[in-house]
Amino acid sequence: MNKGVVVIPTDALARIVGSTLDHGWFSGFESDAEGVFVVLSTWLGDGEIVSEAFSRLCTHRTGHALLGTYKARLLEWWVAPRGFAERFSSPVNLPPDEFRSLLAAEFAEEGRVVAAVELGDDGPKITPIRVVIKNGVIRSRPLDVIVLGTEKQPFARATPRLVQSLASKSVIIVGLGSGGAEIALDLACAGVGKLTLIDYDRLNTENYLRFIAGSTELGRRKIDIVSSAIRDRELPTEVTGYALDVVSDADRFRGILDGSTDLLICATDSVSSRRTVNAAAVLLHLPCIVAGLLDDGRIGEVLRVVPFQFPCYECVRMELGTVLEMPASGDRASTPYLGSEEAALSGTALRSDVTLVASLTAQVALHQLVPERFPELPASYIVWGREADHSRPDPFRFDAPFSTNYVRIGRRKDCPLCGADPSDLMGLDIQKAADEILAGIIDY
Amino acid sequence: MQKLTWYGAFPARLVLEVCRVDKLNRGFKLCRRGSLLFWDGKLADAPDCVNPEPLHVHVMYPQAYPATRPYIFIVSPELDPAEVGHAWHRWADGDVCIVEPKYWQMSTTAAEVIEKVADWYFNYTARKAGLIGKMPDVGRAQIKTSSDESGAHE
Repeated sequence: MNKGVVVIPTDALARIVGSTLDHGWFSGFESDAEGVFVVLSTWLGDGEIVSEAFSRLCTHRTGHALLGTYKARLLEWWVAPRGFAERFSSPVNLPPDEFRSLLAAEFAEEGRVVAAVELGDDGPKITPIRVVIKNGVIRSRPLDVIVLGTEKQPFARATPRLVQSLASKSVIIVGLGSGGAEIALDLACAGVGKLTLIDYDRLNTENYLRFIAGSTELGRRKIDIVSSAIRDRELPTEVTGYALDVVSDADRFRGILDGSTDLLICATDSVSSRRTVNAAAVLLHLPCIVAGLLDDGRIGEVLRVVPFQFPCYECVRMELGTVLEMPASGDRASTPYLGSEEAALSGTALRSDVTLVASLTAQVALHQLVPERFPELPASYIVWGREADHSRPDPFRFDAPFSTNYVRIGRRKDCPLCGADPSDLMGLDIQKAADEILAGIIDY
Repeated sequence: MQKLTWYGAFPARLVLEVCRVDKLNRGFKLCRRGSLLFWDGKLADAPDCVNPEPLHVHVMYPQAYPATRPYIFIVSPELDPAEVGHAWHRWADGDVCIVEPKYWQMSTTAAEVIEKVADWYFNYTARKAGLIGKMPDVGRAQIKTSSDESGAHE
């Protein structure tokens, strides 16, 4: 096992090629405890040349005062003879004279790390070694190297055609709690080109348990944290954030929705916000997914709404919520839809409940965004149960733990959003009538 | 940032709201403050033996309407600020409680809300007059008239 790693941008190494010097320094961050060296610039005797990758590495955690430190003289580099890398890729013990004939660096008993740079025909090759003098012998042990290319390659291990298909897609996510943040990250990692994130909340200590980030992000808005997480992965996704409450600021929320949106995802944890997002999606004819947890995480639901084609959230509430009754025991409601209006529906859910349903939601989103690449889902409403539970009516009855029920529900004719128009409106030119009403309103 | 009101996104609902409230024939007028719409009107529903000041109310549509319920603000008379909570069916800010938010049905229009407020005022005045001890959760309280009383003894 190598005892450390050097992270070095290609251009920091390439500077040495054009130099006449045989040694110099790399500057950057070091975490001695973790054995990590992050190169930010190259000293060539007459000055420092900052790497073009500086902005990609300057927020590296080794730069944090409690974890590492910045050193102008982080790592001494020496031009090494050809064949050095091959010979020193494993531990080597040599007499000092023989070693210094290869690399003229000075070493002490406490040891130090140097970078041997071999200037071959295929470009410079770096071999960082930790060197110690012990019992009159120089002992060299290699470190790992991560050479950071000039081109960001976030999708090196992704399916190119899927990434290409998603690059032009635009998704709005409402609710950047634990579930919404995971969904956003999943979609960005899949290749979605544009994400609009809506949430007014900031990270507090109680969020550490389930959220994608912890104490280093305390107090930041969740939309900004997710945006940072996407940038940290060097993903090309264009991220826009809005700090607003979709219920109390519903007019601005609707104003954000436009014809370029391919999918709206609601990952909030209150009934009122879910109803508000669903209503906006149906009225503006936007495909939507309403996802979340119910009953303290025992149940997850993912509802794919294609307005006027599949049932909307209101249809589902009407279909499943008509038997709303208060629980006799006072513990659990007869259906998971009987929750408090404002209290979080997910309550004490486990992080694994949240991430599982978030992953399921992201997969359903991909089905909606690039249907040609996935088989059609058996139903638009998916309900997942953490536990076997026969105490509730379908579809919240689960024969075994981790069951998934595909629920076939039709659109409700009496749905106030996507159902038939009430008889009062028959024969009316709706837009004309609405315009006349608005023109005649008394301004107060 | 652009804004889109509920009635801009859902003109059919606006037409339905006006149609249903007009059918009530209670004289309520649709008003606008900024981009918010509300119904302005007076209700005088009360038991026969009570003659209260008419209840002047604003039935306000929230931005998220019809996903969330309207708010009912009492303009006049000035009610005792201590008369809030479930016993009086009023929220802490004085807003009249016509339905628990979780039971709000999106199909309910302002016309039904106005009728519920009329019921509320009937019950409120009945309680204030000592005709009932408790305001019912739903509908109007059954007030016993003198003829009811005499019939009961027969």
